[in-house]
Amino acid sequence: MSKLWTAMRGAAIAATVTLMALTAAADPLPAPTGTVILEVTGAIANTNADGKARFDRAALEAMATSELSTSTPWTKGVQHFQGFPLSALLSVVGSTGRSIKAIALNDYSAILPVEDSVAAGAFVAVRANGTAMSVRDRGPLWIVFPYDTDARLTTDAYLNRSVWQIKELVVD
Amino acid sequence: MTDGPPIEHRPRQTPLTVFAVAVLAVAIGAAALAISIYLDLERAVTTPRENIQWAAYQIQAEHMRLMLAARDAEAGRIDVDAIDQRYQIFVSRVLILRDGDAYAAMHSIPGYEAMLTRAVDLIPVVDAAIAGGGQDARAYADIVQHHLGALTEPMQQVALKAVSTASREQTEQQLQLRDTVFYLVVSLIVIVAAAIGLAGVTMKQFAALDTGRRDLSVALWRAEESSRAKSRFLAGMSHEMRTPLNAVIGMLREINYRTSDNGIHRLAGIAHASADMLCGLVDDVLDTTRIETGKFRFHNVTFDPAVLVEEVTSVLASRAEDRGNTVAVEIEAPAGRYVTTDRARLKQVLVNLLGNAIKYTADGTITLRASVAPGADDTTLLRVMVADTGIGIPADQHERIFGRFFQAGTNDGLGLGLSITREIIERLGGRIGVDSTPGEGSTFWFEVPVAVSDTAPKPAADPRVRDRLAGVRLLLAEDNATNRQVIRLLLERQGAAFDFALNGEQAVAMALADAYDLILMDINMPVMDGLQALAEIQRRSGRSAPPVVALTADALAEDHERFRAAGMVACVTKPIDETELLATIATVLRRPDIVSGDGIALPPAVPPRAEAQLTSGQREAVLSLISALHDEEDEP
Repeated sequence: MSKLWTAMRGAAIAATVTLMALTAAADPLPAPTGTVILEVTGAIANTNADGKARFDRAALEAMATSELSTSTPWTKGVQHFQGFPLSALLSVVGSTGRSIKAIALNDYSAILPVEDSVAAGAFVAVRANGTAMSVRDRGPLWIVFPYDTDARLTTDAYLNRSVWQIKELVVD
Repeated sequence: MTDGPPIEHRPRQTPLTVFAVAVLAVAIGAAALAISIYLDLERAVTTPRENIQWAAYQIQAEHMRLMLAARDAEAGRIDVDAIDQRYQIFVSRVLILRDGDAYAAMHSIPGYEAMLTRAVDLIPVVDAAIAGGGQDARAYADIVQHHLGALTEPMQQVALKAVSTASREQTEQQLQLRDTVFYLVVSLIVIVAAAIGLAGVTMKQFAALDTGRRDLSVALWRAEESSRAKSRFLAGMSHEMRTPLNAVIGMLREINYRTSDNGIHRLAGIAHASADMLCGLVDDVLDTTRIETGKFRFHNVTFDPAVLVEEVTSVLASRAEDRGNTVAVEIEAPAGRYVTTDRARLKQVLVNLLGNAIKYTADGTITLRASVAPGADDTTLLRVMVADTGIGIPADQHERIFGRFFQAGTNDGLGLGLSITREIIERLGGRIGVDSTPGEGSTFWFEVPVAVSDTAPKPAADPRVRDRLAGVRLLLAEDNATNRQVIRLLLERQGAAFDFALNGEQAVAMALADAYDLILMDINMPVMDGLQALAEIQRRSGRSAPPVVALTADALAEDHERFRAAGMVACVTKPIDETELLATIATVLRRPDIVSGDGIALPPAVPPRAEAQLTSGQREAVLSLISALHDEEDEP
């Protein structure tokens, strides 16, 4: 069951990736106009600053066209997240790396192997239950997985990759 | 009924059974334990669970960072946004601890509950204070330090206790796991030991079973051998009894022909009927052994069923009369319809069923109903029903009466009749059954498939009493003195000229020395048997050899085929039936006059004579028969 889910998710993500890649190729990454919320650095092809891809809230909200509803081990009840698959972001920045270091506001960091995390359905949440996430609510960005679909996703490996209060991603 | 003592079928409670049950209980316990361990592990894997030490450290660290940020803000080193972010991160940590299922295990840390409640309660207070006057970094820092500074000590305590709690829980889990695994290992050892023991016992039992099986097959072989020996003995004895019996019947017939004394007629008639009955019983025994040895063969002829029924009823008429029974016959078959099946066997069946009906009915009515009607699938069935008003048969015995040696309440008869009857009917491809109510009577019925034709069978030769063979010259090879006597009387009466040869060698010599019209050749003879003699005669006289007819006591069709293949022109079975013998001779010699034309009808219409004495010829015949029987006894 979970394998099937993973496969379906993989297919959906692949479709999205292709779409985003086409978009990315057409437009160069626009420079942020508001406060920068996320910086992507490292092995990326598309930048809008010195070796960096920087995003303000408007840019992130524009990308937040997907939804994911799941419960999490840290919240009460099912959460309705809006955002984008991690793979979509990687395609926008033209990632060529095989792992990502996600760094939080408190400088906590975790390493996400790209292939496995994308296949598991890694999702970058921009909004939760219809509103932008404050720092208090684990915002501004939170990497979540569809925990309810596969028991494997609630093991330590994936819980540790579920980094909240993200400020920077380093592609390696 | 020869039921043995009731056999005890209940399994006994042996120590082995108890042991096996105990081992099974241990195995089930171990399996349950293993399953519970598996389920625990499964739950541990799938239940999100944060490390309590890490979580305790994180909340303490965030609190410390917040306090450090407050100090920096007071010193003017960071702005209000920076301290706010620290505060928000701290709050997010507190809320996660409050909401997240992953932190359930934290509640076992002493002081954690109180610390968390205090922190959660303080958040709205701090939020309100900041909203009311925390616009600049210093004021913000004051509020944070004022309200949250006191949490430093409990946070540290929780962090420290988390370490000891985690280590204590880990130790407990390890001890528990060790105990569980120990129990599993002990169970496994017990099960393995028990399995080895049981395997040993099983192997021993298999060996015993094997020995038992071998003993059983030896016993079975012995039993079968003994049964075969018994069948052989019975067959031999019956066969031996038939020869003198047939002689008795033949002699009585001759006496009947020769006497003119009514009294002797009657006595000879009774003796004849009794001898017939005795012959029937011997035939039953012989049939039974033939069934056992699989030598039961059939010989199909075409005949009128109405005539057969008439024959049977007339044979049994006097017996029925003796018991005050009326026999009614109903035949539902188109006139002139002939059926083909084994007439003699069918007659045996009819005699048996009708005889039984008469035997078990007194002063009643017996109805014999026969019909020829189409059955399923284009077959034609001869259906016969024999209904009596006799003692009847209880329902529980309806099947058993067709078994061997069954007798309904009486002790006469061998109890073989119905079993043979059923055997005959089933081997003819038919069915037999009975409907009966005790006290009201029984109805036996059977049906056998038959072939039907409109053409009359070859008319049976009408036996003439005298001189039908006048002028015919015969050679008879027969080693048995009694048989010679029987046939001598028959041939003398029919006016034939004949010589006897006592064995095959003599027969060859005589056949070559003299000219005979026909040779009647016994098969089993000393010195040279009938087939060898036949071959020798044909070899030495070539085309001029007279026709040779086999005389055989074996009524098996396969034997007849064998004899014909060897060169016999025909076969006549012993006891010699006069009609059959005459018809055969007529056919072989192409002399239809032997069996046609006027003759003296049976029984001999000899006018009664005054003196109730045997004629000298009769006396001679009886005396020679008796002496012949003596000779037979003396033979080795």
